[in-house]
Amino acid sequence: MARFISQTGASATIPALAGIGLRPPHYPGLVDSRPQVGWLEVHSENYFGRGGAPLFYLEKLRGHYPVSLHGVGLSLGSTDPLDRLHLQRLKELAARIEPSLVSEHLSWSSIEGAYLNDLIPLPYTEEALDHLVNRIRQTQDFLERRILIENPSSYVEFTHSTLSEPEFLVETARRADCGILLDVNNVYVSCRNHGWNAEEYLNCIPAERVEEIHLAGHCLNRFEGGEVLIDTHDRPVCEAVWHLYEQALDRFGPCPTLVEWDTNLPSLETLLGEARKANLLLEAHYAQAA
Amino acid sequence: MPRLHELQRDFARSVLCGVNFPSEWLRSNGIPPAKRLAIYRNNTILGLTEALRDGFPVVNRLVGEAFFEAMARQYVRIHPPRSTCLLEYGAGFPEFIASYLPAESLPYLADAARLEWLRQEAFQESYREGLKISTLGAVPPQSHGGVRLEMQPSVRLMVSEYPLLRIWEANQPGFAGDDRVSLREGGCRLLIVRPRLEVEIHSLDTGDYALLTALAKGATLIEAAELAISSDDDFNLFTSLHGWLQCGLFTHLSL
Repeated sequence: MARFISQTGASATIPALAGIGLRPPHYPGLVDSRPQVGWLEVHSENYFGRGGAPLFYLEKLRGHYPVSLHGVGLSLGSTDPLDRLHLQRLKELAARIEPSLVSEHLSWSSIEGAYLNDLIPLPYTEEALDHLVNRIRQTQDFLERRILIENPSSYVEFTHSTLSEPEFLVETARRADCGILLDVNNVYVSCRNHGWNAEEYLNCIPAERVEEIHLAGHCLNRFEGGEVLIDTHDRPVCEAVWHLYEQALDRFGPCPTLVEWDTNLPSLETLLGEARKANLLLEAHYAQAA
Repeated sequence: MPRLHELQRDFARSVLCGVNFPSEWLRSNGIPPAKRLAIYRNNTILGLTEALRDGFPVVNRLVGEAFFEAMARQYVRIHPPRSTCLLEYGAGFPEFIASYLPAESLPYLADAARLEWLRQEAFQESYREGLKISTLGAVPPQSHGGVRLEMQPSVRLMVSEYPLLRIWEANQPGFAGDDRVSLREGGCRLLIVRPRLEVEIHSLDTGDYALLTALAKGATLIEAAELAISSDDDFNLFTSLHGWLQCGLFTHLSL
């Protein structure tokens, strides 16, 4: 396999700037105009093929931008055996792309071999914590690198949970010795859905663990007697999430920040506009720090 | 209190099959647990249905969005993905369509799905540099018969009783030609291959189809050529090989 070596212009670490998710309709625009954006993130599984356009463009763009591999399918919280084929493919992709960061989710997606294509929360129990920590450790050992773990957005809470989500997240990261990818939109969505306090959630997270932040859009679904926010990634980041992001920057300092947009994809210009908004807030925090 | 495995198993059964999930395991917090679970059911079933629609756009066009959705939803429930990589989801969809009674009146639909699946396979295969014509030229003539030729990893071959390529073309976005296809136009033999980035579909005559199918199975050049000539009296090995070498179809030669 051809290893990527000519990293002209692409540094090995992700800067504390805004990045965007790389999606196929934007391949040509990014390659042709090479706009100013701090870094790119991809869903790892979309590059598990043996060749073709996705890998071609990713390798090309890797020459100009740092890249983060963000997994959505490893199903770390599942009680199925850890998917060795998935891990092998991820390791091969990482060898090829040399990503600056590799991340996955604090959730599960498959059970008894069936993949549900969603990020489902765990019950926050000691049993789930032991299990997840063990799986993250195995993953990091196999990949021979540290990973980041992302807090999910959720629409259910299990009655037998004994820990709060931020407690579970922090304890997982501490015991597995992994980093935290804090999705500020997910914090907002889950807090609204379950009546948790977002500021308290942020205050539970130790700043030194947070290595990346995610931002995205969500929608509101009304039900008889209540409403649920759904993490759709199909629209701009809302004002309330921008506000929570500022609070997160106050607490964690400037941090690589990804604007996620996966369905109802906008033009590259619109997406870059969202990234610029994040950059302005990051710059304001650099200025404060100076 | 459920163990983690029990909880996950029951949650998945609820999402995929609508089997009851114990509501006392979920906090309601103002919204009935069943409605909360319905969000996950919707995410899974809709997300996978849309993944199939992305992979089978011609089938979607042939049957219309509502019919496709009903058909795909049933497939998703019975055959949820076994791989966490959605690029691989849908391998069984053509066979499912072949036995899906509501689609009985469209006998070519399963073949359209087969073609779209082979295009998906070709899309993500690796690419190798094509063999140079001079490489074959360097083989002593008396050894030509024993040559085995490897093809691009993306090569897929298929036969259909229907004018499948015409059906496929007439259902591409922006197609401006005559979109009336008569099933009396007859069947076709197709080569699907991805040289570099774009997947191509070539219509093959019987000789070329016999030649490439035999070579793909590891036959020697003479064995493959004999099959080609026996299926098509007018088959010209030289013209055929020259054409495919120029396309970069062959990647490796062994004696």
